[in-house]
Amino acid sequence: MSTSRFKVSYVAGQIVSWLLVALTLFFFLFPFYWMFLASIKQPGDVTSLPPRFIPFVQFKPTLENYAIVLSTSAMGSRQNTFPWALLNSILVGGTATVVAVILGTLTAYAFSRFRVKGEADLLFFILSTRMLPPVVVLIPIFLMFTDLGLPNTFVGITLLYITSGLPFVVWMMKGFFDEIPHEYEEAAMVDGYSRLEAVWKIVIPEAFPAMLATAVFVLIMAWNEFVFVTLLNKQSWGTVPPFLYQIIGYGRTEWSRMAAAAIIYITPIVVFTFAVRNHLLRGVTFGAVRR
Amino acid sequence: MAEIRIQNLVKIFPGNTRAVDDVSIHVADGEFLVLLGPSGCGKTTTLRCVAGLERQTSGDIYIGKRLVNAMPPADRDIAFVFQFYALYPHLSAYDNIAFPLKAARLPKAEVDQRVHQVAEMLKINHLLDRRPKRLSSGEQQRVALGRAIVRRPQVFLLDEPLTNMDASLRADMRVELKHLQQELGVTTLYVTHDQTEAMVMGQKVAVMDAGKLQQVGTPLEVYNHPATLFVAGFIGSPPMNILDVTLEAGPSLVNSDGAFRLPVDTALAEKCPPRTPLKMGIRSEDLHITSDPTAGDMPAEVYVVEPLGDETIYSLRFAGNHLMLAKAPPTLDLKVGDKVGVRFERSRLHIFDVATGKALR
Repeated sequence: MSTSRFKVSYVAGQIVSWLLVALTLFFFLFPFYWMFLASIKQPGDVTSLPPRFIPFVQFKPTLENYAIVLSTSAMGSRQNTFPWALLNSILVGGTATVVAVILGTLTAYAFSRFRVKGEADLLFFILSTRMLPPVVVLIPIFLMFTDLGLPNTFVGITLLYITSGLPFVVWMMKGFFDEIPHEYEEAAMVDGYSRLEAVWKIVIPEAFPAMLATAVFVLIMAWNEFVFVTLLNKQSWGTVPPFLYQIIGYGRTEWSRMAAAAIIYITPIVVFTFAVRNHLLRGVTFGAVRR
Repeated sequence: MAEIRIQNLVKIFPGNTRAVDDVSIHVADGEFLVLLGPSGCGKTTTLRCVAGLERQTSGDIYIGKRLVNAMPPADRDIAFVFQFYALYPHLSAYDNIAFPLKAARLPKAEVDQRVHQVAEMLKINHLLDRRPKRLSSGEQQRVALGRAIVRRPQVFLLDEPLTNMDASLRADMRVELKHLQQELGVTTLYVTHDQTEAMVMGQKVAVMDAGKLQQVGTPLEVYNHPATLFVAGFIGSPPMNILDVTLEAGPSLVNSDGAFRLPVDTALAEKCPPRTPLKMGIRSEDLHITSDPTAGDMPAEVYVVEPLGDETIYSLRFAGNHLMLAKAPPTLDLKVGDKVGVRFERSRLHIFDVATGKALR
């Protein structure tokens, strides 16, 4: 019968699509599972062959790696411990993200709403700072930072991340503001508010999902940056990426400690991204649903 | 309440576009004036200058006794209704309406009382907790009007508020809006490109074209005595019949190939300079068709028939292939190709100077 044939093909279609979803999920999530496993293994279990996938059954899990990683004395000198590096990452990444998003949003609003002389050229200039690979400017920036006494400081590295995040924020937010009809602010201005009040009460609530979406990208960028922080902040205010790299250097590679540190390190980002995921979707699909 | 006086307003946009060119309009206290014109004629720019959303290049704007040239919109005591309503999407209908009152820092109880009073008036009580996204376009428009009314401004400024509605809703809202304005008695400046809206709603109509004010008058004045060729062509449906002519001895109006020759009285002839190019205009209802022509009637042939039910519009072909539209009652049942006679209502002929576009009569 045609109905039963329809049913069969429908069920088959469902199965295939679920399989595809499962395969995709496996592809993306397995590395995380593997990292998590490594973080709860004894050093010997990490490299054992054949690999051991199932805790409690194939190997005895331990939280010792986390304890070592989180203690402030077990690894390296006093300043050079994982909790310090993590705190630095949070302070530097958080500050850079907040400042870049606020400054970039204000800049983007101005570009979107006012007649700025040489607007196209200025916007292109802002974008052009992202056009060459960062490594190319590594030496000049190192020399400039040294002259200004900025290496090994919070201000220096944060400034660098703000600068590299700004163009992205300006361009993303300008796109969002262009999609928000200017009549909203105008209505508020006629209703008795100043332009600044109108922006604060009407435009910012509208643009907030976009600001969150942009913030995620800037935060990840600062969170992951390795080259500059390795070179500039060797002595203090180092973030987690160079710290992780350092662990490799100590005699034999402590895979399970690295894994534990990495798990802790990605958690804030995963939590943040997860918390704003609805906004993220709305922020990214913003232009498609207006008017 | 207050009058609006716009004096010699000029707005030049970057790139030297003269959007508004020396426009002067006076809206009396409590009057409903419609600013009418095709898109891009400068009517919205004029309105935005009055609101303070655009700063004029030169000229003065008074609201009441106050010169408001440099005053920010917030201080002008006006309400503005936008074409796309511009309701704040993250606020409920209630909060949208309350928004201007919160700017004025009114006590909560009074805000509540005034919002409900306005909601009552506009019959949107049941919609107050909804977000704009969940309102139909008609409901959104009511909320937008509510937001305008609630603060009891000196002046209403409305920018094509009915353009985005479907036809039947528009007709309803037209009536309601007119009624509301009369009830509140607030001086209103209303921008539209829809001549029906202008004729039906306005106590006065100001017609603009290419940044210039063409004519200000009551709807019937503008219809019956268009001051310029543009007004004659823009107002009225179907549009006025226009023909290039010159005045010749007789006196009569003759077109260039001489095939069209309309005798006119001396009173009219005295107003027209002889042997200069003129344009003659006559409305379709001022052409009377007879199926048995007598002397003095102009012969013509039925070219196209457009029955509208309550009346029929005939496109008539005169000697020399000139087409003119004529309205006739549906009882006159003519077919394409019928030979007819046409009597011109000569007292209602319009004559325009080609060079200036101004009406000579």
